[in-house]
Amino acid sequence: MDSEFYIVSRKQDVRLALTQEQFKELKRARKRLSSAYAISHKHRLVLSNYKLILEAMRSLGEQYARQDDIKAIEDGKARLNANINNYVLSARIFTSQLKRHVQTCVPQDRELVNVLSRKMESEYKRSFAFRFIDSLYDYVAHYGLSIHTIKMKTEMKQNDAGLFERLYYINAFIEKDYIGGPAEFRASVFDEVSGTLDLIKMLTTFNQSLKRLHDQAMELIQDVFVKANELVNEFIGVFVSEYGNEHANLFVVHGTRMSSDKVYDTFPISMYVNNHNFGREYV
Amino acid sequence: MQLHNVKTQFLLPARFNSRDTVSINYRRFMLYLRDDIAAAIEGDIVEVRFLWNDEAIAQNHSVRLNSFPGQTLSMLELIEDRIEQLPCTVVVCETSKSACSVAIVTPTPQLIHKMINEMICPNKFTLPVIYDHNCSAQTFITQRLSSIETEDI
Repeated sequence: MDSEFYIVSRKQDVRLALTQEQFKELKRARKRLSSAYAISHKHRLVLSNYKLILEAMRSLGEQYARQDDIKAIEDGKARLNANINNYVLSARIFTSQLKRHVQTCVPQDRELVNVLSRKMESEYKRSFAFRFIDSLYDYVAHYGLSIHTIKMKTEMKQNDAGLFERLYYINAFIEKDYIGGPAEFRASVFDEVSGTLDLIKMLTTFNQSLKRLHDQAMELIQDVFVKANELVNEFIGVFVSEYGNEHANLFVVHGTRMSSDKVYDTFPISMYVNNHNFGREYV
Repeated sequence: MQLHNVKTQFLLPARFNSRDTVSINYRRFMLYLRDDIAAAIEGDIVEVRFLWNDEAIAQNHSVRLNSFPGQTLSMLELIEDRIEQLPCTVVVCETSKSACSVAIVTPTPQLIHKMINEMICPNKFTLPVIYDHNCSAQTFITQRLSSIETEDI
């Protein structure tokens, strides 16, 4: 196989030759950056789904307060349920992939992964909300329904001007009686459930656990992440100094000299080091 | 979770707070007198329970019980119209899958009995059933609110 390695601009008009060793270094760096970003992407996915739940609840509460559109109410209930299911799914994606992403960043350091494993076990032990939402995934996957009861409340209260005004509240609940039994839910957690659980309270506490796990994971990979970032930036710097800033969106290619169409491997690099979707702490 | 800046044409009487419970197989909408008003009222409670007839149960089901808030308001309006000249006040008005109920606090329960016996039963309901409760308005409201959490409605 007559391989060649190079960095190429997105328009494929200019390229910079690499050695096989440089290609491997870039590939390793890209894998680490990709894993690091995946941790944050997945965490943000959970938080975004949480916001969607709040929006869906707010919207449903307003529909109930208006009482003028039955279809909107029924659609709103389905939408809320869908958003909760998406949240639970995204949370499971985050927790189930977290160790793998860290391991990809620090394959040679087993102890760092063990630190995260212990942290995850600790969150599971200390937080009922963590255990419950984690178990809720299995229930939702089986049954498709995540909440059982919605309660609206309105109260007349005096405002600062001494005038009475009506305040509106909405809450969503998961009820143990409707879950069924240990056959439908993780038995050890099912035994802990007492009666009715307020969804938002559970999710708020669960979010705190996820944030601690996210922060711990990012701390563990910080050194590797910075080095990978520097390495990729270095190659981009060389490319840009050769061809100019208009060629800053770059890709690494393992191809063959025999045919320009034949590509064994290719991956982007600029999208990681010039990623404006995250705060400065990750770049 | 509190909702802010709610815009609605569906206005509840300012004397009442409300609770609305929507679950998989039950629904209950309840208007209950504000505590500052209930505390100032003396008398016993007469509860009138209008059970849905079969046709109404089918209609309620067809709109997935979403008509309960409106039906509660209609019942409140009907009863308040009837008791306008009597020394009494509606304390609780609520709608569930089985009935629309009105609880009235009065120093003279027999007047409420007489009024109910003389009124034409509203459409959608079978003959009303009357219950006397020997308790204050505040106690009755507290009991009804706590029953939301426990009762199989």
